[in-house]
Formats: sequence, C-alpha cells, structure tokens
Amino acid sequence: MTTDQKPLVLSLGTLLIIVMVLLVALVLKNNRYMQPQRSEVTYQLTPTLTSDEEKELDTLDLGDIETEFRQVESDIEQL
Amino acid sequence: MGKGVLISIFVFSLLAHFSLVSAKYPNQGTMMLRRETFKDKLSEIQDTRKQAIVERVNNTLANINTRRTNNWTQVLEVFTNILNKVEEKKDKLASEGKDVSGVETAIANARTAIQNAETTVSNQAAETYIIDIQDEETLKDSVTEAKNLLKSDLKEVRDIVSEAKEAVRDAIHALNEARAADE
Repeated sequence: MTTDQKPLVLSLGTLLIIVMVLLVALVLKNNRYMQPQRSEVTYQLTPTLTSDEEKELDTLDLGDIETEFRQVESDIEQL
Repeated sequence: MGKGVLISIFVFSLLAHFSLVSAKYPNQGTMMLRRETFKDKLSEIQDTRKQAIVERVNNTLANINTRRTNNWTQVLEVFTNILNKVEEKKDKLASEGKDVSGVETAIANARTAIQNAETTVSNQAAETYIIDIQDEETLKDSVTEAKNLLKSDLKEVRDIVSEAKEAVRDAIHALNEARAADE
C-alpha cells in the first residue's frame, strides 16, 4: 500500500463500518416489530374450547336497561 | 210479585258477575282508577308542552316494560332449548356408560333458575306504571319517581334472568367436563 492509497483505504474502511452498523440496527429494529406479529398469530391459532351451546348462549342479549331509559331521562330533563 | 223476583234475580246476577270479575282481576279496578286520575291530573296541567312530555313518558314507560319482558320471555325459551340440547347430549354420554351426575345436578339447577326467572318476568309483565301526578310544581319529581321505580324493577328482573343464563352456562361446562373426563 502506497502513502497515496492510505487515505482511500481508511475512507473505505470507515464507510464499511458505518454500513455494517446501519445493517445491524436495521435487523434489530425489524426483529422488535416482528415480535407482536408472532404473538398475534399464536393467539389466533389457540384452539377454542367453547361449545356450540355456549356460543348460542352468548349471542343472547339481555338488553341494556340504561340505554332503554336514555330517551325518557332526556324527556324528564325538559320538565 | 213476579216482576219483583225477576228484578231481584237480575240484580243478583249483576252483583255476582262483578264480584267474579273483581276476584279474577283484583287490580283491574285500581288500575282503571289510576288511569282515570292520571288523565284528569294531566288535563289540569297548564303548560301544554309539559303535558305532552308527561303523556309521552307515561306511554314510553309502559312500552319499555312490555318490550323488556317480551324479550326476556323469548330469551328464556331459548335457554330452555339450549338446556334440552345439553340434556340430550348428557343422555347420550350416560348411555355410553359415562359419569354424568355432575351434569344432571347442573341441569336441574338451571331448570329451577329458568322457572324462577319465568315467574319473575311474568309478574313484571303484569305490572303497570302510571305517573302519580300531584301538581304542576312537583311534576318532574312524580315522573322521575315512576321512571326510577320501573328502572330498578327491571334491573332486578334482568339480574334474575342473568342468573338463569349463568346456570345454563354451568350446565354446558359440566357437560364439557364430563366429556373431557372420559377422553
């Protein structure tokens, strides 16, 4: 290596190190964002133990008493 | 003489009829009287805007009670249907020689809870909520009182229907456990 080539090699080396650091940072960042996605998939794949009868039971709505009286309460406020 | 006997029979029949009707519908007379009183008191209110509101609220309270109790009656029928399916599956397990004693207890509890809820809903459906108007100054309080009474009654009934729902759920879980125990 000649004296003239030394600054060029140094620059290329520095550039290489910067590129490597950026690559590592990028990989780490991707891994961090990938984690929740993996959890979500695991959650979706968890088998459910709910039977058909229980599903049918859960579809039955007993009504919301508070909502039923909303209009009446609004009317009473006008008195 | 004959005329007097006929009149006596007619009057007696009339009295017997009214006593029978009032025995069958003991609150009917009171309800009619309360409705009449409500109409009279409502007509005494000077402010026509307030008059319209009170009439609307009075009708809405009756509608809410009907709507809620009708809905719960239908829901309780579905609870019974679900429980019947659970019972069929329990019988199938029993015919395979599996232990279903826990399921039987849970089904019996659920049936009792449903019956209790049905009686409560039926009694609630027969209730009438009529605003007891005193005067124009206390109008808001009278309307609020009627509304609060219906609201708290309906919440109590809803809780009892909800207990029946949980009892049915317990029966379903007991069936699932009986199945799982033999797998």
